[in-house]
Amino acid sequence: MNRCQVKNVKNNGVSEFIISGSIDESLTHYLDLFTGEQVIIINLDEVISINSIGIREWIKLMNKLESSKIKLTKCPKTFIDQVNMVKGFLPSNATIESFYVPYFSDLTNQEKKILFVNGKQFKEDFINYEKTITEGGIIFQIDVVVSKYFKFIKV
Amino acid sequence: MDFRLSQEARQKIIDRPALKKNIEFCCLTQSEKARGLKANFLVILEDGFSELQVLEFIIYSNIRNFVQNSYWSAVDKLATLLSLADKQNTFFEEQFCLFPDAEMKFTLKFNAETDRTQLTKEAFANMKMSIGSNRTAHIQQTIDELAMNAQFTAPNSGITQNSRDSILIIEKNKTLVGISVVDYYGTLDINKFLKKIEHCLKFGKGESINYSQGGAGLGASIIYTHSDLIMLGCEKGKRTRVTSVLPYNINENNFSYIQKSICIIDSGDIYE
Repeated sequence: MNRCQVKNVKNNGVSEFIISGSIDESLTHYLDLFTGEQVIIINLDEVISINSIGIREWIKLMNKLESSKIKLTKCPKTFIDQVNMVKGFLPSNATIESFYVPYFSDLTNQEKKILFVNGKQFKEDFINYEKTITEGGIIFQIDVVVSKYFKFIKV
Repeated sequence: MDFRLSQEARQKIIDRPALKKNIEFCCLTQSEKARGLKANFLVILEDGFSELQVLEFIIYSNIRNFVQNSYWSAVDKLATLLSLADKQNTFFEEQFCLFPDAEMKFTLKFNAETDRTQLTKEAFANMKMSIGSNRTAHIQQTIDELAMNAQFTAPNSGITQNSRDSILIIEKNKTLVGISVVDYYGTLDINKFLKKIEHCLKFGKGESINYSQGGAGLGASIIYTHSDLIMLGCEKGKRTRVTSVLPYNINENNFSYIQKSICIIDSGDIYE
């Protein structure tokens, strides 16, 4: 686990920012890196946690990017939890393109994260999920409170 | 899953001789009368109270201990409180134990310069838990928020000269983790701490963010949301201890069954 780090890469002319580690007070140092381009992709795959100051700094970042179209990819559970709980965390100019749903096997104590992709497992007003999945003969159960976790999808 | 006890079961707890001798109990119907009392161990033992109700009861009454049966049973919570009966200052000491059946206890020192991610990493390694797991995210967040309070909020709340390191104390039994941070600033305003949580619960986190310098004003709420019990104590200008007890390795759905408890450890000047 590292403190927050941000990398910027260009993919076909579109800016992709890869955030990793813990979104905390150290995000402040990277705010200048984000510039208001038309479309911005923010990849959150390697985000491990978000703390109270990280919540505030994220909202500041979203406010800074209010004129851009923001696409959020590979959002971890810790991020989706804040989307569901904190007003302003996901502004109207931002969309979730993909996010993880955790599954757990009580038998083997193993965790599994399944990536849900916009247009496949979910849309703005639609979600298709399995309560259990089987992999390698192991049964994994969904490890979230469904009504709370999918709240941001207005079914 | 339902942790609520019957009236008879609660009465049985109250009637235990060891508890009866040292702890004065009251139920909510007696609370008006109780508000006039100043017993250190006046305990409300109740069930079915929401996290906001418990919080408001502590904020707006003189009662400092609201205990509900939960993952940490009411009996065990009261036993821990009882161990402080004659010597409440022990709460601030490293040797104070939350769980008599603890499988593990360790301490880690840290200060304002310490990298919290490293501190958390070390704590997780000692607990033999994997960091970044969905099942341990609550523990990770709680450690981070408690440590951050000691690193930044405590020194900025009036007293700036302190050469002693803060201490992270972790205790673990089969089902619970106790996470405590002791700092040697003694600047925690307990009432303010509780009111921040109240604001978050009433108006939401988004409406409770502090956008000016300093903390975001959400840490107390994050800690409380994850906890089965929080214990708070502050000796003004001397030391502060905040303890959170939370269950581990349970699924998120089971977290919703937690019945919250709050204990304020008396240093004599909390409500002065």
